[in-house]
Amino acid sequence: MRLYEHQAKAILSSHHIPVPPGRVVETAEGAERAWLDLGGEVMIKAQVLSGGRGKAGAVRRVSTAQEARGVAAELLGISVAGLPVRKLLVEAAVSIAQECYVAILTDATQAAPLVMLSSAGGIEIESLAREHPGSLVRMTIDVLDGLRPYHSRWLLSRAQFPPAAREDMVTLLATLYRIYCEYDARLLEINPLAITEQGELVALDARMIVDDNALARQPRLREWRELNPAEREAERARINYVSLPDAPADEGRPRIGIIGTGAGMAMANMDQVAYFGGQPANFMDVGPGMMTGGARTAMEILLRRNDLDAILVSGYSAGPLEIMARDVVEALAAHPEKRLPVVVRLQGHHDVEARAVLENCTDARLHLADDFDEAARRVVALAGQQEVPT
Amino acid sequence: MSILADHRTRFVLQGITGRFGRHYGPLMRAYGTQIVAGVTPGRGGESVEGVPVFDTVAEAVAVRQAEASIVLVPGLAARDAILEAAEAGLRLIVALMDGVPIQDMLWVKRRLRERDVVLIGPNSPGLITPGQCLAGFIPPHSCMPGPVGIVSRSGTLTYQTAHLLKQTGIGQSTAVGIGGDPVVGSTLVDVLTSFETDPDTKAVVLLGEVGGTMEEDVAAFVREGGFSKPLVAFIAGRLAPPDRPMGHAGAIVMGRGETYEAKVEALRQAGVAVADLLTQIPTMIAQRLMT
Repeated sequence: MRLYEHQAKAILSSHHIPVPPGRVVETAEGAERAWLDLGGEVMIKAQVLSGGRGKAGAVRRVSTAQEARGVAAELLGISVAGLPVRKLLVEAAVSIAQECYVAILTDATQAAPLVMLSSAGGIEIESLAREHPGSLVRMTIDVLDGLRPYHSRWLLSRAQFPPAAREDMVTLLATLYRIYCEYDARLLEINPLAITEQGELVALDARMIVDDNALARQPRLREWRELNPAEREAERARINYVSLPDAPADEGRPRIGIIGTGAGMAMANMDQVAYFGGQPANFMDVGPGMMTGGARTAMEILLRRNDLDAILVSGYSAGPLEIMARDVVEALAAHPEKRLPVVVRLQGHHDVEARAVLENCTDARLHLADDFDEAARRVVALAGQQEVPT
Repeated sequence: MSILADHRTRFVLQGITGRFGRHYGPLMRAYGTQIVAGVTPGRGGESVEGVPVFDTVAEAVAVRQAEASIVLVPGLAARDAILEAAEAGLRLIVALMDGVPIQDMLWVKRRLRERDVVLIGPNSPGLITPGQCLAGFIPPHSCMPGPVGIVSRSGTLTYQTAHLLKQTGIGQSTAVGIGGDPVVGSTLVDVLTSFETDPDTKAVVLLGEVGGTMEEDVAAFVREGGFSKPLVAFIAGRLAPPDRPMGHAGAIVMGRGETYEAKVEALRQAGVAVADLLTQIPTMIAQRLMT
């Protein structure tokens, strides 16, 4: 789960890491009022979960109430990287003496937290690593010790941080590490971290990505999630659903809704359907929710879409496949109006029972397949046919 | 022979009284897996279909000489369960459940470094040594005994591939699903290392996925001579939407890689045969077993 800049900053601020004074607004009038509160030079920053906001013109500096209102109205009408701007962060501008970079992230390969630090910042980290490779200092942390002050001093000295800012940085890094642990972060990044002309540290931008596996113990972060209704429904049913955007190049290829048991199987189904000339419309893994009606929800979500030419249910599992088969049959029965073929292939521990359930179903939209390859082939062939008898 | 576990391995099932434990425990026992004890805190003294339940793993070791564990507890309880099993001196821990926080796994991996124990998982389908034992969810009739090892990041693809091989008359030595999470106990390279020294494994199928750098690590491992047997790989997710869960900073740490193309390229350059489709695997393996 990615947090918005203003959410990450709220967390930093509640742990006494300085951020510029600011307000989150959703209207042009709100931005104007925020300017009146803050006064002077003010930054208006579009809140979207994407990088490259500066390049997209979605971070702007204004100096009057009128300007604040105008810029806010403009930003609230645009999209950045396909994401509509719904909220703005209006912040007092900071007089910057130096921009730095700091991040703590989980290095999966080392299975350890990693601290990255540079006394140059403000640009994207990949460019930073390319243009000033020597200035980016890294340290792998032993979770048994955590990030100790002497680690931080070593990092700051290697990164040639201004000596006057170093002891404040030691405190800031210790706090950041505590936040990283407390909030189950996978990434916590401040870029730029400003050293002001008064010599103070201020987090000008913040990015935070939280481990989805840990949300069960992060109630506050769970509340911040923005799921669309289908995603929320999928989550409740313990299934994973990702709708794929239309690929314009694939127009004319039948769009196939896909349900698999397990993430790998769902992806392999997508690959196989594409190989036979279909266009996979989604990723759907019902594995974890199979025991508790996950397949019923999965079918409902796909049947409610109006852009599919066929549905493929193809799985191999040791789970209760007969429940999955019954869920598929019941979902079809609940939607007699949907005229699209559904190809089902279920193999695994209870496949005899599952097959019996499917064979007892007389719905003409339901087609049985015996294996992985045949199922993908059949669904693409059937989707190409216009009328499907009901 | 086989790797990790066989018909003699004495398992304790942690979480034996839970919903998943009750469904999969009998399945594993029916296959011949020796589940000699169960553990559920607070339920010591009970029994589940004749298997004695203990409050702690240490008791299961003392009374029933358990040497390995199958962990089927909720994700948030996994760190405790795995560390308990390790401290009780078990040599193999197979963690099946999903939803284990990554930072818990950082602690687990750090602690396990000090011990002589192999952890498979979490978020894993477990492992099967066909004809001998099943520690996990792998549908047993997808497999049969034979010369091919399978190591996989995906559960269901493990079963599907075993099934495809079986249909062409090729059995498996051991099939291992290492788990789908970013941080898991054993990596693809760790399992390949075990297959390398197993005399009964003549060739290996590797099932990778987009994301992470484990496949790139395999490519480097093969190039350096760490694995010398015939190896056929398949990478799932060619069409998966590009996702960089860790953003730009993650890309710095990971370096190149993560994408389907990068993984296939790295493996092919290391001389590993890569199947474009899952269904090509049996033929590719058969050719390599004959030479």
